[in-house]
Amino acid sequence: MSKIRDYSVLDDAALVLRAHTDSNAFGELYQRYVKKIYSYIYYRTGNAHDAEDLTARVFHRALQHIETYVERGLPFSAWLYRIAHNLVANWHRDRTRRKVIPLDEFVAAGLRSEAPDSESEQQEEYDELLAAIRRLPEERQQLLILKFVDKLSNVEVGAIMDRSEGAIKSLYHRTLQALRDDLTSRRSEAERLISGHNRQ
Amino acid sequence: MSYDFDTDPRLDALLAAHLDALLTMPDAADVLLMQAADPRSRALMELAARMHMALIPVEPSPEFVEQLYNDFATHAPPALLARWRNLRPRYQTAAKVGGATLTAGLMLLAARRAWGMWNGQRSRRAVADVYSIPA
Repeated sequence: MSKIRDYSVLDDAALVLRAHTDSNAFGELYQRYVKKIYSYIYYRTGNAHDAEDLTARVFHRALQHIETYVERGLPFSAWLYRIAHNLVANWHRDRTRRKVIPLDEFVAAGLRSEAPDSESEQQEEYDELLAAIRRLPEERQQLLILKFVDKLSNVEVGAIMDRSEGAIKSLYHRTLQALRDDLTSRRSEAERLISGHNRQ
Repeated sequence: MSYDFDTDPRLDALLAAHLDALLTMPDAADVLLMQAADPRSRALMELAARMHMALIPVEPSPEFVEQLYNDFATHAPPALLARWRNLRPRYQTAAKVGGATLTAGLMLLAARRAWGMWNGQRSRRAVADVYSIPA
């Protein structure tokens, strides 16, 4: 295989083939996906430290098994997300013994430090929304992060989640509906508590 | 436009189109929102717009990215033995046969050369003996 200088012109499949014998080819794949994989893991774990640790493990695992990866309809990026998904699932299983910083608190803390006071009300609304997302089932959280944070197409999300494009659209609709129901019921509950408190 | 909200492929498609517009063409998302007559579909689109604002992409620290990149850039390609194990059985057999043939050929060449040298030395000794030339 001849040496090339500009790896950015190659597509993922060509880079994967080269990565068997050429560490620079894997380096290019790493640079293409590290930020997206990190972002995905960050929102699934809720803290930067674990996100970095798990991101490193995703790419180490990918490098370790790259010779066994065969495309067969599953793009390399989807393969990476599946590795990330499995590692995050293991992390969630293991973390029951550890203290956890919830995503909403963590993200909110980071954003508050940059937000002026006038935006704090809006920030509270985002915090409430992020907390509601955290209460969703795992696959629905995964869908929202892949769509809103990593901005993947429905076909790409379908490849990662092993579902058809139509099923992804339907799941997105049901997820929005569930989120809205959850937010509405919590607001009603909060209003009921406040009015009860005022009457006393 | 009214929808059956539990299972409605049209609403699935509308919400998916709205999300794609939010992510790529926000103006088009606003148009879709204004065109949505049904209050529930409007509410879901507004919720999506709020999520778009709340779920902001995050990035790892540049130090982390660079350090991990250096790990991979300096990583040696997989060892020969590991690559051998990943070969299909028929390729492994072919490689074994090829390797054995090559080894046998090299051994034959070496043996012939050694035999020739040994024979040559013996002949020289025999000649020396006949003519009493000191070895």
